[in-house]
Amino acid sequence: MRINRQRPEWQPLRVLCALLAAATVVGCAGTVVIEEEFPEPVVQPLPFSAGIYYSPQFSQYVYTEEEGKLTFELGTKQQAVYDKIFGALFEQTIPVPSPDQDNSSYGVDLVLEPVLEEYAFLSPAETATNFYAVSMKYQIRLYSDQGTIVGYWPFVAYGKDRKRFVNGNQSLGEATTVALRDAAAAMVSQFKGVVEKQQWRAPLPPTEVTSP
Amino acid sequence: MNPGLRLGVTAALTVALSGCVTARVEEFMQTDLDMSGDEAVVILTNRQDAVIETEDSFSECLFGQLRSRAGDVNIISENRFKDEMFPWFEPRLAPTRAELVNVLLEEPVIAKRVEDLNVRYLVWIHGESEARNKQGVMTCTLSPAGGGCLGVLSWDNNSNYEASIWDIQAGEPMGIISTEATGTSVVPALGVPLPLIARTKNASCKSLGQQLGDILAG
Repeated sequence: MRINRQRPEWQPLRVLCALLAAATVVGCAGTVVIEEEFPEPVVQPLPFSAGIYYSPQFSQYVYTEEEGKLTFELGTKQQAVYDKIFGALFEQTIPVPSPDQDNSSYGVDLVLEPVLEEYAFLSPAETATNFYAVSMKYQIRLYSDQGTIVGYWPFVAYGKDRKRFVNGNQSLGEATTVALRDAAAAMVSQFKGVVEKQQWRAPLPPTEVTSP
Repeated sequence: MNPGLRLGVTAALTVALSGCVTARVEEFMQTDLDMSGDEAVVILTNRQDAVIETEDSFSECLFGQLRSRAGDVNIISENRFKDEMFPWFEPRLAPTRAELVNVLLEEPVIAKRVEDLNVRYLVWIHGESEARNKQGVMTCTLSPAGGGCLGVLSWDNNSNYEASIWDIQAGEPMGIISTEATGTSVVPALGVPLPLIARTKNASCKSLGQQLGDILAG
């Protein structure tokens, strides 16, 4: 019978190496966690009733890298954020089945549709910094209660988070959370002014509305 | 092991595993703070600088230091305050000068929320820790029979932080406290690496926490 004798003086190092190896694997394959709960925005609501439409592309958006190495679900999180934003911005919000139909029967003054045009991130290696940086390019489409598109408001939300030693995906999740909070900041501070001035009643064709 | 020997070994290990750190604090207050009742102080980190961003670990450490040194003072954490004021203290909207707080408070719902929280002072933390002048070589090997490292690494640690105190009611800056800590970290390895880390961030946190705590406690 062959007996394998372990050299006890190397045991801690082996354990350390095994742990490091395990942590590295977890770091590569870990999930990207985006904050579940967002606070209620502190804002005086506008005296409008807004119809809200989320397309499946928006509410079921899944980010997938080209190589398929990284995939995470973003749609429900961003919809939850926009629910909070619209709920705070308007006296009343009503979900509508489609933005480009006659929604006057819902008693809405306007209909809004947020569109995520692009989600992108840069890793610390790409930026030569210690941060993960996320950008989310949005467009808020404005429709009349009759279903006519009358304007759109584009903006980009940004977020960054310091890289972590083991789990880079955690940093990416945090940076995305910061970007979603930044989207709320942009909406509350700038988009509110757009709606306040009733710029969605701009003449056709649809025009890019500017922040006040 | 008897308690005395255990204490001695612990102290020796603590000294051995910590590099030397030099820290200094400078304070410039325009006027004394005037807190009354259960008025609150908020600790915030400046997130608007594109290059420098204060580590969460530093603000958490400072929050803990202030809790222990100025226990009677109502101190609100950054996360709680940002959530309560959402989204007005997100990087896009947070006031960059004390005077701009007045502009923010012109909005009745924001002023009401600040009043509900009874916030009197904002303490903005700005700065970070960095490692420079990395030198040395270390080689590590790993085989089925075991492994080990040979060599030495060293680098300089530098921590620079600044705390700006604003009176949110008056919309005026009250003063600045700055701290700088420097030290050199060394990791010699003859088989097993022995890290001797200069904990400059921790030293900065303690020195800033002590100074700020004394000011807040009056």
